[in-house]
Amino acid sequence: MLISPDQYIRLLNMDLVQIIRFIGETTYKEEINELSGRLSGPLLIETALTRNLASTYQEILDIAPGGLKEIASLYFSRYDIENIMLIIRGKQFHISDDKIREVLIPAGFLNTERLENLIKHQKIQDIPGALKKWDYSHILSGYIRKEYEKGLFARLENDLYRAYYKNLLLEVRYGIRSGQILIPQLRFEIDITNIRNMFRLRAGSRIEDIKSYIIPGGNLDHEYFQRLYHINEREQFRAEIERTHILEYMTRAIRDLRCDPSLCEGDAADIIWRRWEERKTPLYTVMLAVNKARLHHLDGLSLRNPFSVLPIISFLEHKSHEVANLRSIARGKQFNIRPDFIRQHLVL
Amino acid sequence: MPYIRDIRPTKSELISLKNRLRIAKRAYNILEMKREGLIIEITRRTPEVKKEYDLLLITYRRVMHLLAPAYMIEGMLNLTIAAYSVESRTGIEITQSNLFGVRVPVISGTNVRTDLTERGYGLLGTSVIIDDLADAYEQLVEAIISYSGSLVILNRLLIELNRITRRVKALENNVIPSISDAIAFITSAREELEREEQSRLFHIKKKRN
Repeated sequence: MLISPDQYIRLLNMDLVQIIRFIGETTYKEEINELSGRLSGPLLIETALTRNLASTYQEILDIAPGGLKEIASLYFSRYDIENIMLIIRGKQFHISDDKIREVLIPAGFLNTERLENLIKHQKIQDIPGALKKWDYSHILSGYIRKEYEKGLFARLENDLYRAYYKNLLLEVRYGIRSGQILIPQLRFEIDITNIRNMFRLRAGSRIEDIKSYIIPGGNLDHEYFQRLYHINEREQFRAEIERTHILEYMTRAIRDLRCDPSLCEGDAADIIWRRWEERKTPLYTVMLAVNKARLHHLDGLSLRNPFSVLPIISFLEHKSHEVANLRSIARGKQFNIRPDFIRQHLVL
Repeated sequence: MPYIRDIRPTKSELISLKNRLRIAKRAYNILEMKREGLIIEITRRTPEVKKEYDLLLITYRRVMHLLAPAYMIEGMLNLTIAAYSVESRTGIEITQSNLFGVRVPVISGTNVRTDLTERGYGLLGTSVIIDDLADAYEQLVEAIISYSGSLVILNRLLIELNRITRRVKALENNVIPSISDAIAFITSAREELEREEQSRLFHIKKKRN
């Protein structure tokens, strides 16, 4: 059972103690009871939420029938990448095992026991050997074999995510029966990620060739992004951005954020252009609103295909956003942030 | 306490004091010029340091303003991991330079601003808020280095100004007046002696006649 928008509004007006009590009476009861002896405040909430998210993922994946489980596991194998990168970085930079354990979300191919085995290794060079059955172990061993150098982990992480999307698209297209249902959602997600990263690269980097940072397989190919990346003319930029379906979602996101229903696509394109021209990252609140639009897109697809894997993925995505929302409220309260400002950070 | 004591009203003492007075006046002029130069330099630098301080406060507030949303969106653990991922290490270089004869340290930072692709975290697994926060922290470190460099130079100049002012005031109010008084004393004493001698010679001459 997920928390409803009305309950979020109530939570916004509570203090931290009331929030913990509220969460302790919902699906997070077990985690709150278990952790409240040694943790308190926002850390208690955050740790309980992360643990609950991991166990929910595992429970749902365990009860999902054969084919659906296979697709859902593949879809959530992105958490494997996140977990493995956490372990590798943790080992390299001497972060304690307990701290690493606290952030792991065992939701993909690697369950808690396997992750626990990885944590036990003292050297990162031993990790690829323990992951021979993992789909991306060849990429991992290719990088880890080398001596550690600056930028190695970032390149490895990028390559793993690129391989994840490539593999996932291949599997849903040809490997798994009825997997094709996931393709529009995946392509949409890839496009949004690529657009976001292009803004980030333009704002914070001077590199010319962005190919290695673009995830292939979206509706927009890497030539499009390469072309867009070098545009410095307003009209040209607008023409290129208007060609994509992303503008529609960006417009909706900015409209929601500014509470201005009269905002049209042209206005949104102008707002996006100004950020682009000034070499600024897109506002994180806009990105949250785009995430919300992505979630609604997924909801629409899952409603149209109720017997596919989409309802499972949609539920788990909602669950992940619920955790993010509750964390936002708890942290916002910790920093004495106004409820209306916290509300901007919620994906409802 | 007078600057000069036990004065002997001799010709050599007078010559020596006149030399000392000439040197003291020259030193006074030079130090006064240096003092004025220092005042001009400090007056020029003070608003710049103030501006850098204001910029430091603004960048600090920006970091604090972004820190809350970053905690809200990413959570403490993800932020910690992103922070641990950062591989470039910021360094500080200190060299020396000469300003109005004062040795001042010149503080500069190395590796303060980094390219997004060289920060150490992957682009595909992180969010925009991490970039914004990392960028804001880099700006803060840059502002701290710049402000501390300017502030230490200003402090050194102020210390030097105090030292020079003390010397100028000592020369103006103590050394030069004391030497002048001593010269006046010797001159008058010598004139007195001269008059006594003349009077003595006058009386001897009168007795002989």
